[in-house]
Amino acid sequence: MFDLRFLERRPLIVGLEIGTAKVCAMVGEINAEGALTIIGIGQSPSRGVRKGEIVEPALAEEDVRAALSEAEHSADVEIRSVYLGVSGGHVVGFNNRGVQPIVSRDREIGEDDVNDVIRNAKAINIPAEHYVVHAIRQHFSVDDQDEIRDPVGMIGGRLEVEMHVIHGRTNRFQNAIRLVKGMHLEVEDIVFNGLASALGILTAEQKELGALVIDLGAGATEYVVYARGVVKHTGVLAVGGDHVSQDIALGLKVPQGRAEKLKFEHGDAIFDESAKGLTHTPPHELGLPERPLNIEHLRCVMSLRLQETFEIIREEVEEAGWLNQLRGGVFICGGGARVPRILELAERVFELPAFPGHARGISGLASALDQPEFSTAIGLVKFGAGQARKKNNRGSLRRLASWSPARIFSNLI
Amino acid sequence: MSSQPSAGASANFAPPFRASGARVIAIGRAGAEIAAALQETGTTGFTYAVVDSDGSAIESTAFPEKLFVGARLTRGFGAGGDPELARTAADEETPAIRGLCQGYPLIFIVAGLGGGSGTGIAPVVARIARETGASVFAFVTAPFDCEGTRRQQQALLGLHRLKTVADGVLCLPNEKLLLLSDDRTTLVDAFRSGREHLRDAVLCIWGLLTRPGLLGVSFADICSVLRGPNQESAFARVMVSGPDRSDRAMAALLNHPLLTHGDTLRRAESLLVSFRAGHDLGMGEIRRIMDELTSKSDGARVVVGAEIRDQADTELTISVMASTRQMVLHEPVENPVADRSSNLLAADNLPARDVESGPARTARRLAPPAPNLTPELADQLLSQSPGGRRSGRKKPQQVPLPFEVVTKGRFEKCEPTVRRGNNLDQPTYLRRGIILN
Ligand SMILES: Nc1nc2c(ncn2[C@@H]2O[C@H](COP(=O)(O)OP(=O)(O)OP(=O)(O)O)[C@@H](O)[C@H]2O)c(=O)[nH]1
Ligand SMILES: Nc1ncnc2c1ncn2[C@@H]1O[C@H](COP(=O)(O)OP(=O)(O)O)[C@@H](O)[C@H]1O
Ligand SMILES: [Mg+2]
Ligand SMILES: [Mg+2]
Repeated sequence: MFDLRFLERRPLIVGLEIGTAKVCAMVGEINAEGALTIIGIGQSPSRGVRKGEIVEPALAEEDVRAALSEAEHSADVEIRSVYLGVSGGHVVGFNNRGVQPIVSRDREIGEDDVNDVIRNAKAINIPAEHYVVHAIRQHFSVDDQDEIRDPVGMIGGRLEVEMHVIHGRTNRFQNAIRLVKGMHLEVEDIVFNGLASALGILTAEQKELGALVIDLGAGATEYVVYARGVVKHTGVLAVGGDHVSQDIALGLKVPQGRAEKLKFEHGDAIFDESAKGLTHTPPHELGLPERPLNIEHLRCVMSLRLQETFEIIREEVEEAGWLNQLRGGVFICGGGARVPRILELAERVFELPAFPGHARGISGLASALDQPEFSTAIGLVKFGAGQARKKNNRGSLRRLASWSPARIFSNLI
Repeated sequence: MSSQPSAGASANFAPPFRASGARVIAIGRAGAEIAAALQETGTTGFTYAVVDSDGSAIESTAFPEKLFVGARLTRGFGAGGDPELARTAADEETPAIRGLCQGYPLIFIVAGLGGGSGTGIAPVVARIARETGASVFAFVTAPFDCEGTRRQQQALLGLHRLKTVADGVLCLPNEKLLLLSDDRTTLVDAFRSGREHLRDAVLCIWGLLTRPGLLGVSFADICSVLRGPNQESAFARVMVSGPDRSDRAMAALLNHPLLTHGDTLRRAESLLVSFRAGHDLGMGEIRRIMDELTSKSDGARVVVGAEIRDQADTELTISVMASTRQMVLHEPVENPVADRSSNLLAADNLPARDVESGPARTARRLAPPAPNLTPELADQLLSQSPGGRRSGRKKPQQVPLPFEVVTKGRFEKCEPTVRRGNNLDQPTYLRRGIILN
């Protein structure tokens, strides 16, 4: 028998995160049963990105190329299109409400009413130079009845919808899109990294219970709140592992690269008695004696930064009113999740249980799924799979045309 | 009730500094120019001295008393923008600096922060001056944004140090002056305007300390406004005369660019308001203006002073000094130097001072000041977060303040991460005033 599997191979779903520390391309495939499998990964250290945004396109392009080509090799496929993750301090999320009076005589809510109310909710006041990445439907309400998932067929006088809108600077998104398109690749969609990470990590139950996902990257920290099954709050703080390293570099008077290394070797999220008097004398190079480095200071500087980062997120989430809705706890992913005792710090700051983020509902290369850095890229693939399924359900094979500002909003996340 | 004007210690107020006069120590080129502006006013009671690490600058200055630091260290070339070098040079000249301070109970330091001399030397002079027992106020400028981040960072660290040793610091960010000017203003004009503002601020403080007041303002009151964790202090002065002078004064203050059109008042942590007028100045008028000002600056600690002069006209001068808790060094910086008056910290949100680590340690200190953080204090500092919660159990011990250039490093090519006025690219430990040593 011929192996004809390659002929019927389903469309690939590739997630691309152009991160500050690394570029990561994740290749997924939906099998005949509809299950999503990761079949390849490519990675490259990232040199052209700061704080989650491309600052040196030429370098970034090289790194993206390297990651994609590694991914192609590892999955033995040819990549034609990607779901592109975006982030940066300019990205913001907020909730918006749309209202629609029901005018039909029988006051029965129809598809049209639903479409209209969603359109109303999308008529938002955002800066002209901003672009809406996601407008996510949270729930409907009919008159005074809340939390309705599907209002079609209900009777009422007024239909409302709550949306979570994530937007950011158009030109920053375009920088990333242009870079990918320049490699003759299609951008299927752009996705907020934080949302992708949350998708990668949270189970439906956790989303229902309420959970805060924090992606501690090198240049930016993204956070997402899910409650009652939907996205409630999103944000980006342009502070990350690079800040930790820079603080260490300054505090210990060592170069940045050295600080990064020391952070890996001696870092800790919590500064306590165990750090007291700790020093580290680096091995002599070229026979020159080196001065001992003060690890106590390193721990102090590092924990102050990490604690502050959590405290800011706590403040944001608290002010938005979600802190006491997080019955599922806090989930930490991104490279920062590797810092020793980071979960303990998160538990102290948020006064909630904290867990490492593990990729869920996806099978394949086991090694990939266990790395906290990969949650974004895995989430991107999951997002893409969701889009693909939706398209199939609609019976349409039409790919979302190449990205344009008039692109259809993605609603069901 | 912090928003009520406190009338200071009017009963037992005596102007202690009038007889002794004040020593003005000018540091660096900008300092010398500010001192020259002061001298031009002809105010009596000031004796001037100049300290610089730049040999040629010091030669050209007209003030007779001058001290060149760093002759050996820089072989006469000057610190050339290097605060670290200037500081070391000043440290070496400790006896000579002490000589400049001795005999003066009140010392005003004037300098432009950002260069080598002002930034590096001013904190050293402030420390030595305090060790001689003097009360020390520093009046400094911070560089224009266009002078570059390096200067900004240097200035920031210099300011940080100065605050840990002086009784009070008024810092005028030059950039604010641009609010007063238009596009055609030259840099020279802008610098002049900076000098003049600092000059007025010095005169305002001097007036409050030495002239009999209707409402006496004590030394401690002044310190409460000029000292503390405030990164930014604003100074504005308006002069009005005529029948509806209070209304116009109020309007001018609320519109003053140096008070960011009233915004500074709204964010102020503490306000010092000084009235100066003839005998027609009444309590009712003061009360009216103060009511309005305090309603605009909700929650600020307010200190009021008034000075009655023999004058024929109806001119009313109102000077306002406002400290806002903004910008980078927003977390309290423990002041290792003894507070001489128990109410200095009353308005601050500093944790209660640990009695044992307080006053006794200070006088002998020669090395850079390092707050001895007690475990409780450390804990509180650490948990002084936006949410103000207590969480970490950390005990940062002393830490040397890296008195070096904080470059943007990896963040050179991107926007600074600013949140609620704090530049988060700056190390957290520096912003929280933790000193590593
Ligand atoms: N108000 C005012 N500020 C000035 C003037 N000149 C410079 N500055 C400011 O003061 C800062 C320090 O400059 P200088 O006083 O020239 O420097 P310095 O303290 O003498 O230090 P070095 O010459 O570098 O050793 C600058 O960054 C400016 O922001 C001036 O004429 N007037
Ligand atoms: N063991 C560790 N200790 C401390 N920091 C770590 C550790 N492992 C990774 N990091 C940090 O995590 C960051 C990279 O995380 P990642 O999620 O890959 O970033 P990005 O998505 O921005 O590329 C870097 O700043 C790195 O220093
Ligand atoms: Mg990331
Ligand atoms: Mg000079």
